[in-house]
Amino acid sequence: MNQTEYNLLLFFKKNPQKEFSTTDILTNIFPDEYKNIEEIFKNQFADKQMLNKAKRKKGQLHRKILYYLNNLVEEDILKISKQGNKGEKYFVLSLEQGEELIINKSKRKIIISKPSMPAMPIDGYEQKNIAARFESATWIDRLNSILLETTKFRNIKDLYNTINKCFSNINDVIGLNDFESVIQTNELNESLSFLRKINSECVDYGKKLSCIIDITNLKKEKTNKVIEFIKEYSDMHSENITLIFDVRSKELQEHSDFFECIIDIFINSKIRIYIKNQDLYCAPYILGRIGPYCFDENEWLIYKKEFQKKSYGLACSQSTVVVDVNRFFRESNDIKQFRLFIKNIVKSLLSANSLQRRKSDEYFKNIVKLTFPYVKEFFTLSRNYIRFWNYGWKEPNLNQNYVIELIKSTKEEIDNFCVSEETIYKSCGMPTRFKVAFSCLFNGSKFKFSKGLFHKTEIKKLEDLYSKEIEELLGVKEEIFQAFDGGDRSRFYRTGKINSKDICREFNIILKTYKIPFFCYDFAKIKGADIKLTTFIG
Amino acid sequence: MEIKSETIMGAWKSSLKYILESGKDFTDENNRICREVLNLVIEVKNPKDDITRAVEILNSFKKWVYPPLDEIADLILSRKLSPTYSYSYGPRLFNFHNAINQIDNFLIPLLKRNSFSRRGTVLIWNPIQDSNIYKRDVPGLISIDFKIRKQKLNATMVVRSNDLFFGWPANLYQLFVLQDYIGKKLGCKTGSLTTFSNSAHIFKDQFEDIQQVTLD
Repeated sequence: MNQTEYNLLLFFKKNPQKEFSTTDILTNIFPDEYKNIEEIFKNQFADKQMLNKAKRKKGQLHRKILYYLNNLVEEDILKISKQGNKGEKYFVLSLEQGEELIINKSKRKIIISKPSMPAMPIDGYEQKNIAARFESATWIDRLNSILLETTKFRNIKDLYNTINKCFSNINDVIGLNDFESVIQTNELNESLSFLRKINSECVDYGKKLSCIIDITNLKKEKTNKVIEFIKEYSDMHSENITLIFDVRSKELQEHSDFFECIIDIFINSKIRIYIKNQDLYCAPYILGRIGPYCFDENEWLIYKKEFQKKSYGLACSQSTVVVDVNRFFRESNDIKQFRLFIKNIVKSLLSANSLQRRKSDEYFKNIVKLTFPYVKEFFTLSRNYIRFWNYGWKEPNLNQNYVIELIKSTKEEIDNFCVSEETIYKSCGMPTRFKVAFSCLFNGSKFKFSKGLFHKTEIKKLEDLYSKEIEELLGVKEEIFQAFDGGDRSRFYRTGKINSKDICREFNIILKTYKIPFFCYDFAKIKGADIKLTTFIG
Repeated sequence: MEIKSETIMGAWKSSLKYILESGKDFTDENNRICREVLNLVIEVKNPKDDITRAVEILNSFKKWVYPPLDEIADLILSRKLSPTYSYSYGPRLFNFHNAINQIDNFLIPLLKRNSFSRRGTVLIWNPIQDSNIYKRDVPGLISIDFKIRKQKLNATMVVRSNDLFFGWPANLYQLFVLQDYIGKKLGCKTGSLTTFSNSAHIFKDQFEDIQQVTLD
């Protein structure tokens, strides 16, 4: 057995559950060579010849590692799990849970085993497509979402490198807090280059990025720079990067020119604009592929007071289980059974967290390195998520208040259960955090769930916001926002005659009138001209 | 008060019963009604036979999930502090204040050199980290003492605050695992396990479950 092949096998033996990109593998198998190449790329004095040489060397290393990886795939020791958009291959062990692989070559023997995941009390529901683990292959060894404090990074390059490193520890999304400071303090060409590069990385790694722009920190003299940045962003039509405007109605009025200008940009590009109401909710919102993420507001305030200044970031969410409520009730119309089912999910999350805790050093190596010595603080606000799909506010014979009450009371039970577990763990000398948040799921079809039944809220003119129908609809939405402590989103389809002044006024009405902390305006035209301000099955 | 028993289950049931009957009630800082006995000593003479039984019983209640045994053991033997725990016993024992491995570099050599030594004490409580009135989570376990008598390694732990229903079975298991680790290194048989609980308590919201355990 060749030394490289041997090192590769040892590498996978150490991480039997994990999926690795070719670059991940390369950096681990040839760390020195790779580091030397990267240093040349970073060296601002490197001439073209040196850079070309480094590029050639990098290509050679990639080809070399791929040669061995492909051989292992042919031998059915590894398999290709996916291919990134730029064609980068990802590899995993070709083993099932609990299986063992004995490789015996030229006097060298390696035994690789994939430890069994403990049986979870939701396996049966998964088989029926009622529940699913989000990113089941990396359910335990990755976090779902984190928030990075952009103001803590020395420069934009440092931020870029950190995001890149964190991608291998994240399943869904990275939030960038106070992103306005990145735009305002860096040269425009630098932040635009960052945007383009990071977008390409997001596409390759299949991750999302939420850039939170806190309008309360917007400097009048820098607004042009921010507008230019947003123009470039809208031209990209990025599906992976979301800009979230964190506003209070006061700033919306103060910066009305700015808002009108950016609304125009969003309208012309027919992309969604996301608004978070800071008056209602002070902690950040992050938008992932499967739904929104947020923090417990009280905990956020403590973090802000005690740790934010020294913190590089925070884990937002650990593991997630998604649930098709509609399908559950088609199987069983028993409320007690539903509560038991959710409790079983929570028990599964508890088991997952237990495994995660014991290997967190290994799983989240990059994050631990980044946040040292405040590693503990990094995890202090993290929660697990249960996301609900088709949770009933469209069922013709279902009382919406009843569904909301069911979710709320189930949440209360789950919160009590979490407190008991924390107490038990603490009594055993394991002071640890265990929290579960409820939220909505964006796309059920990815999990083979039932066809989506949901409301689409269409607004054609400002006055629509005062209509009885919208008031009732948003009243229910307010209740749902209360029930979903893990966050929700209200989406308004804006059609009809559009001008940015009106939209700005509409934002102001929503901010002031409704208890909706997070909403978006969707300017992509809804197909089907006869759709009115009503509820319909989408 | 001192409770002695041959088995874990015997000791656990007797002490729970004793606190139920003789403990004094007060409301703690978390607003929970707590029934407490001060300075309770519990000695288990032969813990090997049923060391996991109390944990199994706690697991049989479907209302909660008790930590898995391997995680309980990990906590006392693992040298690394997991970033998701506020503190952990293992790093305190094997790398106290990033300065000393109390088990491998002190206790084991000490008892190897002098098996009758009365200095075989290791500390968990670290005043530099824990004597802080604003700190939320500090260890319940203060110190562990090891004595070799009649060719057997006996272990005693001092616990400042001990939830006898939920905490004690895990504490005993941790002590057992550590005793076994040291015993093997010393080539010595393991003997009794003793806990000295400054505050041995149970909570009112668990009285029903506790009664079920004591009646079984």
